[in-house]
Amino acid sequence: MKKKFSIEQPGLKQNPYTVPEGYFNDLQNIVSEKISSEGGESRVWRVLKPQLALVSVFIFVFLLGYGVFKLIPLQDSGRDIYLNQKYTLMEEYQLKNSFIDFYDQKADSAATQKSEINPEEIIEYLDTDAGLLYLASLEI
Amino acid sequence: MDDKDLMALFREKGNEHYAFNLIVNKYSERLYWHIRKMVASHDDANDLLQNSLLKAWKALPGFREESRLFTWLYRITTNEVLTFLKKKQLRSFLSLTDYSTKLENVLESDTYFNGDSAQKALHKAVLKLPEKQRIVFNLRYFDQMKYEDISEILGTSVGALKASYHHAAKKIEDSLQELL
Repeated sequence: MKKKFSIEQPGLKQNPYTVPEGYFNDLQNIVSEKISSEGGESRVWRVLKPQLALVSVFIFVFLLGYGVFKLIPLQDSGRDIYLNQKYTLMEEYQLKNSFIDFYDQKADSAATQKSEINPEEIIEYLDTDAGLLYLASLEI
Repeated sequence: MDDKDLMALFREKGNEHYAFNLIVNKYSERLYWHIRKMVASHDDANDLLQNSLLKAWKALPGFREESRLFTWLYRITTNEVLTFLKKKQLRSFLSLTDYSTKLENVLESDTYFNGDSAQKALHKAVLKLPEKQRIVFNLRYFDQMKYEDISEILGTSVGALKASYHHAAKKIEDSLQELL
């Protein structure tokens, strides 16, 4: 029967890991240097830094979006092109078939134009019809 | 110099750097081995130790000495390690690879590992344990830390820690029984 393995065997608890030579001596200096370099940063700057980074990201995204809309000309989509063509055709059809085609401009202007009457013709007309003058005098 | 004296020295104006250097000198090695047994790789252990010490430096002025300095340092380091492992596991999950297998591979190719085959098998089995169980096992088995101290570091009851350690030991023994 196989003997039960025990973790309490001698030697197993020993640390088998190693480190590069002089690692622990160097570590203290490395940590000291890091602490000194971090100390240069003021507390206010440490607090402000992430917030400024966030704001600059927002500004960058806004400018990027603005640039895209401003610099790249908007092109008509296929649907818009189709609608524009449709409206143009409809307009042309309407112009061809509407009453405007039958509108007689000369006749219209003749009807509305004030004919100029010669004053001599008026006097002559009044002379021929004296009865009208008589009637006018009666009214006074 | 004991921890209370170190803290008193740290609170003296102008002695902060000197006192902290003494703290680093006193605890960095223990903390390093604690991290190294969790992550296997020297480079990762080095990064995590440096980050932990920097965090300790920043937090030390606010340390109220309600717990002991060494358990406080262990707690910072352990949290750093657990955060690191979570990130690594998430990346492994996304790349569909098992992180414990990756750790085993690190151990297999590690130039800074001088153990024999039994030790290698033991450490591979340890790396397969769930993180918190691994921490408990490492602190108790390798560092021979008291359960009360481990309880202070992890914020878990002594009873739960004992149960966790025995589960871990059983798993490792079963795993090694098959291998050796």
